[in-house]
Amino acid sequence: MSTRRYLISKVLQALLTLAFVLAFNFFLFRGVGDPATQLLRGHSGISRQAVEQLQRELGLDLPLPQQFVHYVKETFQGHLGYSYFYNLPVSKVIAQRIWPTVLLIGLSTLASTVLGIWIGIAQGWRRGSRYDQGMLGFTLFTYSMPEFWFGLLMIMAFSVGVGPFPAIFPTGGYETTGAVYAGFAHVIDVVNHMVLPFVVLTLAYLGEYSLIMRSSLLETLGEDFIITARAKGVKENRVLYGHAVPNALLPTMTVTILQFGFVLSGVITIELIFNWPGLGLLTATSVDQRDFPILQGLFLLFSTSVIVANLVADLLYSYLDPRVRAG
Amino acid sequence: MTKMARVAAAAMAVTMLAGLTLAGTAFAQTATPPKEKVTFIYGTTGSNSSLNPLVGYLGIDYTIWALEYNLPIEFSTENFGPDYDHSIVTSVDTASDNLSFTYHMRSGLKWSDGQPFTANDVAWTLNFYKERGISNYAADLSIVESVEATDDTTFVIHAEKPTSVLNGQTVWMYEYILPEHVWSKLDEPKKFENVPAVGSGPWVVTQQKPGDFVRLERNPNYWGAQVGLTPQVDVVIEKLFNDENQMAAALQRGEIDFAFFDSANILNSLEGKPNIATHGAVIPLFDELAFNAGSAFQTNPAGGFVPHGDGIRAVSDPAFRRAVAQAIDKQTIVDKVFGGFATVADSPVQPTATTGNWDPPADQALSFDLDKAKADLTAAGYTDTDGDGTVNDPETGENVVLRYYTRTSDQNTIKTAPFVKSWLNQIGVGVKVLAVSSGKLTTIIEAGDYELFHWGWFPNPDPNYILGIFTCEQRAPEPGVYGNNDSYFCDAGYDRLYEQQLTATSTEQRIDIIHQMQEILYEQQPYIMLSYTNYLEAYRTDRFTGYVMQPEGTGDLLATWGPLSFINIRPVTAAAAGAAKSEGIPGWVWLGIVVGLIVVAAGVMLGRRRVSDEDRA
Repeated sequence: MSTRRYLISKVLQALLTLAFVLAFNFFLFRGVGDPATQLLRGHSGISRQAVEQLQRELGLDLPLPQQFVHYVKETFQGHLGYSYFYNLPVSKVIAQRIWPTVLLIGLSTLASTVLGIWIGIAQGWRRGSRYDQGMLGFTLFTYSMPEFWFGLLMIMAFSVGVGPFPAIFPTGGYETTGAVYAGFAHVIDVVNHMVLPFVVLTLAYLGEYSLIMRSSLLETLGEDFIITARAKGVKENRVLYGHAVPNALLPTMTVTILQFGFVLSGVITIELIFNWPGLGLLTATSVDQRDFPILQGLFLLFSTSVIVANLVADLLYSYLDPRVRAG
Repeated sequence: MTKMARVAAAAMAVTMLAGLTLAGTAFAQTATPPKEKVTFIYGTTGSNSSLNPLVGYLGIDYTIWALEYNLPIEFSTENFGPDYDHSIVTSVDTASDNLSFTYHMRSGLKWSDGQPFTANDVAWTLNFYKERGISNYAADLSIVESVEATDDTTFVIHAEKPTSVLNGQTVWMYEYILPEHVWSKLDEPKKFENVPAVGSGPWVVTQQKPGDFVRLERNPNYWGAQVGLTPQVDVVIEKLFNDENQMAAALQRGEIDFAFFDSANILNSLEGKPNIATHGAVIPLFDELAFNAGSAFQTNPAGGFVPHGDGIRAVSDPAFRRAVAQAIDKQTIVDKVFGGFATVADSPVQPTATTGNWDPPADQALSFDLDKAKADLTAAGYTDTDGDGTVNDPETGENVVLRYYTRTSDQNTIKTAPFVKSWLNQIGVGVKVLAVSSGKLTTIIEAGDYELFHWGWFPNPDPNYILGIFTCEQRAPEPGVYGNNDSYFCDAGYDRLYEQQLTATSTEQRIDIIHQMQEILYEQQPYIMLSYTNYLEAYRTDRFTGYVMQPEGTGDLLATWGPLSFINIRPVTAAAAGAAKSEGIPGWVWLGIVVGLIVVAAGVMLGRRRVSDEDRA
């Protein structure tokens, strides 16, 4: 297959998936009940006319196919609708939540990737050593620990301050409530709020990368070209960084790029525990509030970012490993 | 590593260090919070549905509006009665025919933007709510024909029928008055975000981040000074949480000053913590076990009702419901589930927080007695005819097994279920406990596909609202259509009394009718009233003082039906008044950490270079 045809086929596949997601999202959220009725509980003396009026306002009185056509048209014009719960445009609600998520999940994904790969390389290189065994235990432990539980422990230790632990960090949120900071002071404020969730997330996903890197490196170290390099008298350090690591990085890189596709989805449990006003938290609360327009908007955003990440991984992989293109 | 490279690396490290130190000094100066306004932060769980009074409907939205707008007559903090001393209205004259009511207002009132606030705003707002059928206000305004302003400080309400509810002896109108000059110009008032807002209350909303916080700042034109109301707080912030544990931690750290909780366990865990006090506020809030009193069996077509659902026949039989009511030990629920932060309930009209409560006389009381419950069941024909341990319906012969719904969002409903199940099993009634989301339960109730569920209400202080939900008209007329009457209770006699209380021409007469309505509800038990549930509150004692309870002595510390408690709270000391409590590690420490990391990283890099050089050698 030529490079051009490969590219076109991958892009087409991505677009088709996106179209499917667009349609699927619409019908998925219509399956969970009528939001108008949910929104009205607690109103005093509600009349049937009021319910019908609300349904009209939400566009729920139209036949389903008509609602669908309207939805597709609006989506392509960049209108993601109007939140049932917040009574604000979806794009406005989502826009306010994107940055906290990108910051927290993006940075922690980056940190766990870099650290994980670094640890994995050292483990693979010194297989069976005390370092390898210790790190294997540590990363497996943090990887298998429920992150919300670890998060709660961190809050107890470093926010509330139990026993010898100092209560130095805020309990949650993105910034100090009520403070009007600007410039660097604001940066420091956000950093202070981000430390605990960042540490929890970084540790939680460390194992994923170190384990892949370790096994991939071990496999590569057994290859003929490594033996050849050593037989040629190439220095150990060069064998590792010049020959083994670049080849062993390929599978890790795929996982990493795909993982970055999920950055926007946030991590619901962590955002919930730390009251981090990101997209994960928005997803959780919108499910509870049956806020279809928000959920539709979010799922479209999440799907798009995963599809784009997949596409990037496919394209990059074919660039880095010509065998993929040839196959 | 060559000498040259080493020198270059050292130079780079020194440069970075110097740069960071300079940057650090710069931001160390800005990191000190600016001289802050006095800021009071209260925490709560959930999110505001809207800050627009035409659209929002949650209790937490009302708390914001109570600070931002005025009701025609405010609720007194003492007992929810009318408080003319602190209202925009000072007196009401009732015409002899009980059809028109003249309200006299204070003069010199202003909106937060400086525009005059007159009777025209009140008349415009009430007519607007009525004409638009705004659901928050439809019940109160159902009896109002029109409202007219006769001069700047007088407006007249014309009623459709003679009534006592508008005579100003009770706070009937729970309607926030809006500035006509803002709202009359909007093309789509329901889509108006209302931030920043123009209001007449002591504070107005200046900023919100949905799901995160709402910020209110002092209204410079607040009229309260003329009646001695001067707020001591510059900024009020509603901080939203998703997890009560996290909110409790924030309170302990002093990130917030006050918090509302649902969980008695969390409130108990805060007791005795330094500088923290807790309070179980008695307010009109209750929990009930609701029966499906016959969605599939009723014939009364009021409200376009069509029989629907598959709730079993037994629960539509008042004799069965009365028997089951005697199998519920409410005191145990209060003690074990609510941790004592509740009292046993018999009527939806709460005794200390509202007017018109009725208590069953001793000879009518359905007290907890499993033997009596069993005997009453047998007397009503519910016996175990097939010997499988579960009673059978005398008409259908089927086992009586109740689908009993709890809500996943409310731990108290889940904790109550094992008790109820055990008691009902002991009298031979089968129970299948199910837990669903509130949204799902609403759908199930509309469909009539249940026998029993556990939920609660937060009624208005006036009993009209909560008694109205038991009228035939408010049943869900068909599956998928909402109705407030979630027990499908329908009784023509009760409905007549409901109409009569609206049109009673004296307050005493109205209360007498309201008593009769509660008696009917008690006899027929569409709801097994479980408990008057307390509003759980905790606050820092070292920051603010001056809380005013509503109702007096036992109620909500923030008196969230109006602004009076907020107006009265003030910092304990000047030092406590600062708004932004510094959180986390100061900037200069971060600087040290960053420098440390750079030095370590540089060390590792240099080390690695050295190894490479040796390899190459």
